Amino acid sequence: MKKRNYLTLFLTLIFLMSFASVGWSKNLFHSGGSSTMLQILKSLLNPNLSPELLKLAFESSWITVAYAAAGISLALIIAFVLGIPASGVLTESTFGKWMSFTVFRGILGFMRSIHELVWAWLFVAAIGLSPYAAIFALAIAYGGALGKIFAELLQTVPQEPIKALRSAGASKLQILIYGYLPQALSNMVSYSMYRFECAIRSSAIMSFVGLGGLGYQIQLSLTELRYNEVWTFLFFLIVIVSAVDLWSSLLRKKMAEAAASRLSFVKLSTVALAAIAAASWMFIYIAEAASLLDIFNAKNLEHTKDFLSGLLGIGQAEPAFFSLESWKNAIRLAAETLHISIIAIGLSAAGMLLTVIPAARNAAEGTLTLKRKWYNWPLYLFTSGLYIISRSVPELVWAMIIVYILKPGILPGAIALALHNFGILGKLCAEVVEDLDLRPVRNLASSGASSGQILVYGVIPAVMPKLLSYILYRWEVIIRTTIVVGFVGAGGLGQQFKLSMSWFHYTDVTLILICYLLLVALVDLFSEGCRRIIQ
Amino acid sequence: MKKLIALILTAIMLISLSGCSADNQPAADKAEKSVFKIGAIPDQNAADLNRNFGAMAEYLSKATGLQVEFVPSVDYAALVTAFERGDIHMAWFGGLTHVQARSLVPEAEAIAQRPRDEQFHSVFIVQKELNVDKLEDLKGLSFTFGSESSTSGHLMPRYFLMEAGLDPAKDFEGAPNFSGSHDNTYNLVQAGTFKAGALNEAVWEKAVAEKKVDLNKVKVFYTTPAYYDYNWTINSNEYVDKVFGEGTRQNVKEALLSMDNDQADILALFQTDKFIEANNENYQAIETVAKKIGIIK
Amino acid sequence: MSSKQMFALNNISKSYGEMKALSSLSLIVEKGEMIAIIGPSGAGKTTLLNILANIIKPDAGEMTVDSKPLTCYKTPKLFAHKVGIIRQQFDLIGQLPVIQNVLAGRLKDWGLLKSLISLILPQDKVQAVKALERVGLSDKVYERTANLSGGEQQRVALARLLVQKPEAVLADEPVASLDPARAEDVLFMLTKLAKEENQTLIACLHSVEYARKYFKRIIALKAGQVYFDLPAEELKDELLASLYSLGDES
Ligand SMILES: Nc1ncnc2c1ncn2[C@@H]1O[C@H](COP(=O)(O)OP(=O)(O)OP(=O)(O)O)[C@@H](O)[C@H]1O
Ligand SMILES: [Mg+2]
Repeated sequence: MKKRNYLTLFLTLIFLMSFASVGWSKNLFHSGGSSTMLQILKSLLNPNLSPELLKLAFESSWITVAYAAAGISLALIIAFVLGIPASGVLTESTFGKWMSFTVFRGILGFMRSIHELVWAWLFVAAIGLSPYAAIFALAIAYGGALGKIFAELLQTVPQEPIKALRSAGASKLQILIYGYLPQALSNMVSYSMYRFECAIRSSAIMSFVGLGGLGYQIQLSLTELRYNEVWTFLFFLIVIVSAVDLWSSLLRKKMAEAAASRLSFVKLSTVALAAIAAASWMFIYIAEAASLLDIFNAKNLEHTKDFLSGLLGIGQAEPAFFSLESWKNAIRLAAETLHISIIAIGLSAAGMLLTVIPAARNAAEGTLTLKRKWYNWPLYLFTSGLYIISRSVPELVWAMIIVYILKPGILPGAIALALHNFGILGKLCAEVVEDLDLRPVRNLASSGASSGQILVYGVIPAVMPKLLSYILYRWEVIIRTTIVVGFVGAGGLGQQFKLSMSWFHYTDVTLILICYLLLVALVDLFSEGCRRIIQ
Repeated sequence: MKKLIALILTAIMLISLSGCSADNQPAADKAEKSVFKIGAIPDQNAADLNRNFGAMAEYLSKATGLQVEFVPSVDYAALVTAFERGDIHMAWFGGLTHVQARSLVPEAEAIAQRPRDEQFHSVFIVQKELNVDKLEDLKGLSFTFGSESSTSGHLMPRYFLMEAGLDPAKDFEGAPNFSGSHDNTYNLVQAGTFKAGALNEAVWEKAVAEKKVDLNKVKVFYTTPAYYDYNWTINSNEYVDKVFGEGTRQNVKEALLSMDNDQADILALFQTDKFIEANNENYQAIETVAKKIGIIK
Repeated sequence: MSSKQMFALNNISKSYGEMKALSSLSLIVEKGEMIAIIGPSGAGKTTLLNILANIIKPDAGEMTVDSKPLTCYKTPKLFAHKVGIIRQQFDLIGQLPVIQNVLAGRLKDWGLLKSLISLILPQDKVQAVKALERVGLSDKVYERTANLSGGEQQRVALARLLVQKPEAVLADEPVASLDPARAEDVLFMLTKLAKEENQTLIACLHSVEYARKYFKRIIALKAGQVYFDLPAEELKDELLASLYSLGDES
């Protein structure tokens, strides 16, 4: 057996063990859970479509998009400012390269390790309840993620044209703008579009720090148990996210095409995106009356200082991070968070594996197993629809709904995370199946294999390594998000984070963040190691 | 091509402007520097709060000559933070948030409260068909508090549970939930999502009076002993008198205390017929309990 | 003032680990010469060209460019006035329009701001368009470079050299990936332009036939050393046979 198979076995075992260790003895649903679920599902069939609510939904959608666009445009600036030095293309000396790798990568890594909602919370404590708390939070978390990818993209551009520019006498910066950036641009654009889509979801959940928008409306309707309104807002979110998704895949396709028509669509998109960003900033500046410069005043500086010294425990008798008891507690919560993340990734992976074949276009068309059945197309539409709904709804919103159904504890958080990541994994993995080289499959078929045999011997072994590394990659994302579902009472470090913030126990917050960062780093390391084995 | 771009541009500008017009009103106000801002812990649903405190802001504007505006908050802690920052000049706090606010702004002062706030109670509710008539019976049932920063929805109920020998972390079915507000608490118990919960007596009485809660499904089985709760807390001199003029704190206090039958409809929104004087010392006991439970260190 | 020697190499050596790419190679190139470098794969042609272009540094030996040692060329910009290089088509940025690739030859004279502006509003446009006209691409000025054929791309690279105006042009297998008709077209243009601009031209070629047809002096490399160095018309077939023979390759 290959190393990879051992690893798969090992990971499956970890998942099964985590799954078994949940307290299953008692009933999963709390007493009223199943009837609440029925109510929620029933109201799915009659969402509230009254004109006033639709108007509200349109306005909230715009707010959500505007904050996302503002956040992403700032994130792009951060990503360029930090990502370019982090790529090392501007430095030649070994010291310079070392600096760029450790310092700038370090900063970017730190920025993206902390979930945007946690950043938002910290910003609210520092600069007060302002739209900029949310925008900065998005900008930092996404700036970190984009910057890291930008650095990698710049590093991997073809070097021949770069050398040519150098021998034509171009300076470092000229080489950057004439050589590196144009070559990396199309990948940068498609990744940024993908991130824009994520930012819309994140912006929706910024209601947790007091921002309007779709998440806020969902939260309101949910606490007042008006499920039919919840669905209306969810539909809006799903439509926006899918629209951006469609746009970005179209843009990617057009940019790759060599046809002359590509220019007009690409140009049009550029103009439209710039216009959205400009309109968003205008909206925030005028309608929300939030001027960027107002943020940087003496009062905020004072508060930020106070908040930071609170976090550092300056002048405090017994900061939590010097207390053994607090450490024990935090480590227990970190273990719980890890537990949640493992169950979450396991569940979403299992769900994905069960549905990914029917969700692949080539399976629907019958080219994958070379058999066409009447149910292939309906099944394809159903599963890919499921994926879209599942991933358009942020994990936090799933969690808010699920705590009404399941008992508080580890499981609601895990299931919320699993629900969201099921759609993401499903989409990524269905694409892997679609891109599969079909020649071996035909060989199998011509030697008389049945559809089942083709799947087991031809398709699954070929796609498994890719799927496995996607699963591991999503796990890295999930561990960052696990803290966030804790906010709505889904357990782990997140719940404690929220309580400590509400009770102004800032040194506890610091301790939790330390544990959180350590956990994220640990999972990243482990997952990276596993992925190396797989490749 | 050019036409299309122009089309997109105008469309987007229009959308953004329509968004603007919807929010224009507060925008103009926010720009104004010397607005006296009042806030309230979001212990009930947002629409009710906006109505009640909107009316109060209007009255205070008339009575004091200040430009008073109500600023809603998303959660309890956010209001305390805004208060600390001087973004909120006067807040309707619960006992715990008042104590938290004072530990951050020592000069803040409780100036007025309702008579009932001197003798406040929490009620414990449970699904009607359950055989529960004392706190000990809650063992093994699912349970929800209100907000984690609420006095009547969390702090005091937790305290009395502990007095009755229950450990909220262990003795319920699963960990206790935090519903966020008192309204949510009775809604969740009534919907069957949780078997039992604890909430503010005033909110409960109002819900019963307005028939928002179905007494065939939910019953009160325990009412706590009395404690001090809600009050109007005004910010320090630095943020009030220095900004709005000497004597502002006193003026606002008098405006509140002088409310009478002429303002009956506003007072009714607060379920009272008058406001009486309050003071910081009343909240010593709450502080002690909060320390005991570990909410305040 | 200016000397007659474009390049002078004295005992240049370059090794990659154990592998000696060039060993004690000496060579003088006069201004205005048209030189083809031939030799079997791995003989060190590219290495030599890269050393002349100051892209890689030799391990030992001295070299002067326009009678001045390399230390006199403090910045790449200064050096780019002396020497330009053209290789196969991976030299161009496929994602940029043709005109930007041509204008890259001007970067050595531009500041950062001007180069930034030029990405949106091409600067020195007249010069670039004129260069494109001379290579016969006046109808492709704004085309995306990647959409051009290999031969057209190589002509874009020539246009860039015209704009860069170095005193010497180095070409490493400029026609390797082109079909015979296009290859001749590019070589013809390369040599013609070099003549018109009074440039020194050194090209590595795999085709002896082209070397004879378009160049005056032919230098053969083998195992990192000069195997022969002759005027084109004195080239003998036996010599070529032994140059490319597999037998005595060590
Ligand atoms: N970067 C490098 N690292 C290690 N060895 C190298 C490197 N560049 C060239 N070499 C080696 O040096 C020798 C000379 O290489 P060079 O590229 O100069 O040959 P060439 O004459 O251009 O060959 P070709 O006609 O195939 O292009 C070869 O054996 C090659 O393998
Ligand atoms: Mg070569």
